[in-house]
Amino acid sequence: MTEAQLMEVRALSITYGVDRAVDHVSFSIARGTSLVLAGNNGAGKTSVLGALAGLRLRGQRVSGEAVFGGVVLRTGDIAQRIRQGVRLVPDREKVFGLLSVADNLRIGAARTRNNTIRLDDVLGWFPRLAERRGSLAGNLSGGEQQMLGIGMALLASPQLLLLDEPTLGLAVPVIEDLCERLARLRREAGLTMLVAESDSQWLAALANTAAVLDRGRLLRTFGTLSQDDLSTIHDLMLGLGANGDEADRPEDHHATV
Amino acid sequence: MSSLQSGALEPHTRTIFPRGAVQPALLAVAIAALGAPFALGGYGLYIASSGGVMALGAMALTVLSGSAGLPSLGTAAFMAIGAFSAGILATQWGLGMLPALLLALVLGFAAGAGVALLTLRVSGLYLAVGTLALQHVVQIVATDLDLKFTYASGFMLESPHIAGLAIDTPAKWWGMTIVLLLGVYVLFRSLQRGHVGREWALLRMEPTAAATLGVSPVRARLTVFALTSAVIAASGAIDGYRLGNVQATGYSLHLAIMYLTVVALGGAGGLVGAVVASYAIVVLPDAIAAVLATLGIDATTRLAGIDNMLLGALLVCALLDLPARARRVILRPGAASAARREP
Amino acid sequence: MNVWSFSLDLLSSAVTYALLALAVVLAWRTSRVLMFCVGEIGMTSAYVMNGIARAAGGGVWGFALGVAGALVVAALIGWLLFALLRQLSAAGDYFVGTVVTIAVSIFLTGLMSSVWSGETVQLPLPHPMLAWGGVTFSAVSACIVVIGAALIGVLLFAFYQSRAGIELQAVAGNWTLAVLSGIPAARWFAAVWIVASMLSAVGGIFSGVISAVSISGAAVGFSGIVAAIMGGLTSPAGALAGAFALALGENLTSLWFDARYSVAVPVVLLVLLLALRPAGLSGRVEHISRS
Repeated sequence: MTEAQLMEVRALSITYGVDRAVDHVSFSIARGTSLVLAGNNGAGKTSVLGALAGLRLRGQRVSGEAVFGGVVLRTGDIAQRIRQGVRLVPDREKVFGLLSVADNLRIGAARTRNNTIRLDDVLGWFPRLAERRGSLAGNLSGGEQQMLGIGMALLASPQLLLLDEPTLGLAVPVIEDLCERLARLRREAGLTMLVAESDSQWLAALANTAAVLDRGRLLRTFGTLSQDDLSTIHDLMLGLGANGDEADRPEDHHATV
Repeated sequence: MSSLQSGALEPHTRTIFPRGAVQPALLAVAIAALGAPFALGGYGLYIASSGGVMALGAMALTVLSGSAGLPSLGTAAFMAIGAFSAGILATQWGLGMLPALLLALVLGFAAGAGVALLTLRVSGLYLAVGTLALQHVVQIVATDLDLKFTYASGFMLESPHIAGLAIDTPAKWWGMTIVLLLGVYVLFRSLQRGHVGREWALLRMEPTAAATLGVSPVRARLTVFALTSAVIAASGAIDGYRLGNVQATGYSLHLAIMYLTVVALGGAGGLVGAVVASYAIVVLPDAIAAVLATLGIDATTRLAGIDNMLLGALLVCALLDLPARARRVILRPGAASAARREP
Repeated sequence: MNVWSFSLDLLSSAVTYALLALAVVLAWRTSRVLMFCVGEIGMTSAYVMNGIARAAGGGVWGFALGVAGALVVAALIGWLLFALLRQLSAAGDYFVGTVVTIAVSIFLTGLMSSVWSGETVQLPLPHPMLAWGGVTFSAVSACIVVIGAALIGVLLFAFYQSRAGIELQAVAGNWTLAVLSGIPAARWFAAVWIVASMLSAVGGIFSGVISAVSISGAAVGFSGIVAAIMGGLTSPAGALAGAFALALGENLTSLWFDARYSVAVPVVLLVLLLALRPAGLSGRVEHISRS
């Protein structure tokens, strides 16, 4: 089974001085699937995504290993990630506000690996971007900026798309729309995704597997995510332990806590 | 951490002196101040007064850059406005220092308000450009005035008279300097501690929050700039009297950058830091000359150039907080690479 | 004073200001730092060129060597600026970077003063007058215009046709996001500061050729900054327009009034600009309507 894993994270730990933001978290993502990292604020999701994307903050110590397509990812080497095809859409400031939408898309397309996903495809998935081509990206609404950020990352034809809190600050109808488009993307482009999300109600719509984080520790993983698991995850996020309602599925990896 | 960078919310907090040391420190300063005329000779007192008068402008600039975070290249221009007011009042109408001070305050305020009005609508950075423009304008006008009224020899100012007492010895100048230092210090301190100062501090750190509280950024920054410009102009008038001669060449961009360096060096220590840094910069040329002399280098012709280079280097060090960085690199070599800017 | 020589003077001034203004715009677009030291870099380079050219015995070969040396020195200064500015954290005040350039400007002033004693120097160039179509004009001015225009053309082409223009803006807007988007931000940053310094060097050499090389000649940098501001600081085309307007204003003032008053032109234009069109000549306003 491990040969099919596109991204493998082993015992990832991130500390800021004495604070442990992420504590020995391990998970893996198979090619063509989507994993959602569920957890509240402060659970460590953004840190995990940042480390996987190659971001390095001041005072941060990263240990553990992330292997992507058989290649070990070096800490802090964003350029390597770009070459390997790992792209992050950050939680805040995901677009260049002072540039037009068209320019933002041009930046996204400038360093594509193999041109599999083209501008027409992206505009097809997010037609609103075509309408707002000439606007400054900073003048777009939250949902539009989200779409633009994702569009920019997609134009690079990434192997793995990292999305940090895609639903943050968006209205419900916009989120439903976004989840639908992302599902379409997964179907049509066979995209592998890792999504960090703190709003438990959208997890099943965003991904087919899940890992729940709490204060830096991995509580549980769900090999096949379904709508029924949401209440369990919701309880986990509230701090109510997994009290035997759901038996562990055979495909689940054991949590390394 | 200089006041030209974002710092703590309390720009006026004494960060250089530990709490318990304040009382004895004040006592030591008082003793030094009063004892100076007896310990220092004429030249020493001259330097002491130079530093003190420079500190007046430096404190004002510290308030400007610390409270409002605005860089200003206009210090020399405002000083020129004050000095030339004094010069013209004295030579054309025989008026003394007090009327000169008043005129300097008014003109400095007006000029500051004018520049701020024009530029702050756009951004704080344009204020810096505006002050550079002011420097050019004042330089042109001052050179013209110099030529017309004094045939380029400069306005001669006699010793000022305060309430009948002539300030004509270095010791008396030192006395007046101390009084002025205290006055300006108390003025700015009370401003900073008052609600005005808090508005400015909030405006600097969180402009949006300040706006929601009704603090208009343009109006507040304009007020700070106009006020500090008035004080700097007044210090220019006083400095003119101290030097005894007012010439256009003395108010160059170099002087403005010197003040910027003082603020960058001493800004973290607030108003007191500004005073200390003023003295450091004032004695710098003599210190350099002394060092070069001991090394056997005769650099009197190149001294001005070396001073400027040192000034530039000092300013850069203060801005980039190089001592702190060096400390970090030396103590933890691995951590030095974990900077926020990663390629 | 005939129309042709007036036009040539005008164009050579405009080209000089344009090069300096483009340096300022380039630096601003990438780092949101206002490059105050363009004039000082220009004059320092001119001094270097003069020193090398004279040491090499003058003539064309000495001149070429001098220019090469000046460009190398400028590139070094640019690299120094890059090294200093990248130490600044992305979250810091914008102004610190600008004050760093102010510090560099005073440093260079001191350097010029100690190394060359700040004396005014005439560059060792012949000033032949050419005749063409019944009109005499200065060959040197013509060269400046041709070379300058070519340089500007190359820059504009690289800027608008390649993705450089957009990516520089991106780096200035959000360094981290730029890197995440695959833009080699640090390389762009270094390249920009080196190119901006070299542009300043050429502008300074031109200025030195037109008038003379001296420390006070660095004031030409102020004109460059004003021209850049007239372009709103981000638009190269706007900066060109500003440079032309500035040169026109100065030359007309010299012609109709007195040469002494031409120093006031940059200030007057700046004040007018700030009062009437603060966003620059090519400032853009976007109206948003949400349905």
